[in-house]
Amino acid sequence: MIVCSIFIPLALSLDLVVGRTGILSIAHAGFYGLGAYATAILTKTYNFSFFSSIILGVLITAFVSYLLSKILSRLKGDYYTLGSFGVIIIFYSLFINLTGLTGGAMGIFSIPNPNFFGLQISSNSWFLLMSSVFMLGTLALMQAVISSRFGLIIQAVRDDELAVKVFGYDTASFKTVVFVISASVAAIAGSFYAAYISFVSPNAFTFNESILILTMIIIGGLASKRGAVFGALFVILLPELLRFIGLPDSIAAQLRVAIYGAILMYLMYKKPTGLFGNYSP
Amino acid sequence: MVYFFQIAIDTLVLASVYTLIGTGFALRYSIAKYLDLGYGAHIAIGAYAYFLFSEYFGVVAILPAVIFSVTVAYASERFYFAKLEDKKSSPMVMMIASLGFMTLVQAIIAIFFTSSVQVLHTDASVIKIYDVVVTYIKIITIAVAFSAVILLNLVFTKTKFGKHLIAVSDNKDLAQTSGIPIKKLSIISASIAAGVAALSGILYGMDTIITPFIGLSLLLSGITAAILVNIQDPKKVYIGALILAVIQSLVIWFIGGMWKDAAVFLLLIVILLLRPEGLLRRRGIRQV
Repeated sequence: MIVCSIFIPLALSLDLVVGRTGILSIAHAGFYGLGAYATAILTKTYNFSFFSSIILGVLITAFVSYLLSKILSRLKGDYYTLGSFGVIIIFYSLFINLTGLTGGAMGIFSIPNPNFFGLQISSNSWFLLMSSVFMLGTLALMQAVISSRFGLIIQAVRDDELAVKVFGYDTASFKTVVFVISASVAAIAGSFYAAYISFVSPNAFTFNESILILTMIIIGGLASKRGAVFGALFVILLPELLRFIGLPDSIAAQLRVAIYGAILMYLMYKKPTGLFGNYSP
Repeated sequence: MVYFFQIAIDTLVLASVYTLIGTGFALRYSIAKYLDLGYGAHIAIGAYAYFLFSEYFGVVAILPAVIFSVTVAYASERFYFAKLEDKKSSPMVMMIASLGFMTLVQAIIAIFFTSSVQVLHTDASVIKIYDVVVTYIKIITIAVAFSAVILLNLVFTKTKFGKHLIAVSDNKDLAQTSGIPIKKLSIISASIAAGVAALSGILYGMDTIITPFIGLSLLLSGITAAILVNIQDPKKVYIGALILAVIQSLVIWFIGGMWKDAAVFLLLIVILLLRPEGLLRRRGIRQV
């Protein structure tokens, strides 16, 4: 359940970029990782509180994503996606190689539990409460963004960027803002992840993770909050179903990935809009 | 000095692998016009098919392994990807579909062969040139890449098939109205490209190790090599591959082996920013 409330905002925030603005970015897990490492390093080594680590994590991620967006937005279509592939590989390299800061491949463990005004949150139910607040907050944020004038413009950019430009809008800035918002939400999700699992390692933030989140929103359907939520739930709960069949864990993990791949292929053939989607890539 | 030659040979081997992969990819891209990420799957298929077959047949297993990979590519192209194209799917849909294909294939391989590294059966004999120890495989890899490039150049300039490929790559609709069978050409070129990919996977695996996931990382390197030069011109990819391999070797030598992936992709981003058409863009119509 807690995992769901972490992944649903991840899916929603990616949908903001991919489904609403039409930018296929594979770098999402990088920002997720950035937030996670920020919280891990700040709370463990420097004794920051959980919430201040979230804020700092968001600030760092917002800055980094701002720069990245400026760079990547100069690339067109397919090349943007390739560039974002490059970005996530660079993130992974940084996570795994800057051992002084990030603990390298071993990661950072024993991340302390969050501290809510003196109340130590060590039980799962309290944590679930916090992360649910986050999840609902993200849903509300998405709703606010999408139904605003800003939301209308970015969806118009997805549909026909040239037309929007002709009307005098600086589409590049809109895309950057969307990218930064999406990355910041992912960073907060990362912070929750770090606090919940109390362990971060570079392997949780590879392009596989990005593709996992992408699969969530494609299955659920792009440009749809319902779709993102459903997609996230489906992708997270499927392994539980597989567990009932009693396969050994290593095979079950790969089988789940195989199923996602097969579903993607099937969906692109039959219904590229996904289950609840409003937009076909 | 000896050390330098060792590194030079290894760089050449790397460049050869990248050449094979990048050339096949550029061939595919010039016809299909979308980034076929599934191409990486064929690298892994070839390598693991060889792994399986070499248990029974030894080194000769290269041939059936490549044939197997080509068959898989043919089937997936004919029964799936071509159908997607018929539906006039957008390049993004095709790319996502190819991503699904690659994910599926990698996972299937991991299920059957586990995710741990494997070593490919190979002839480990070496020869010594002036104190430099070189395995036969390295030499064969370089030779294969070299011949492949020459062969491709000949095909493009001398055969009707090659000319058709160029025509389709330049202007698909016009080629179609001229009577060139686009779909058949697409399927054949995809199969050839897959065969090249499989071969490169096998050669690379013989030189080092394989995992189910080598497809993607080699593919990205191959794409970078192709983009460096001109993603639509398979004939020149070897130049990009050489540049890429040299830069990678320099990074390993001066900065550290762990940063080599990041260096490659930083290079990719820089090239895409500064000169997305590649360093040697086609004369005439600008293709971006």
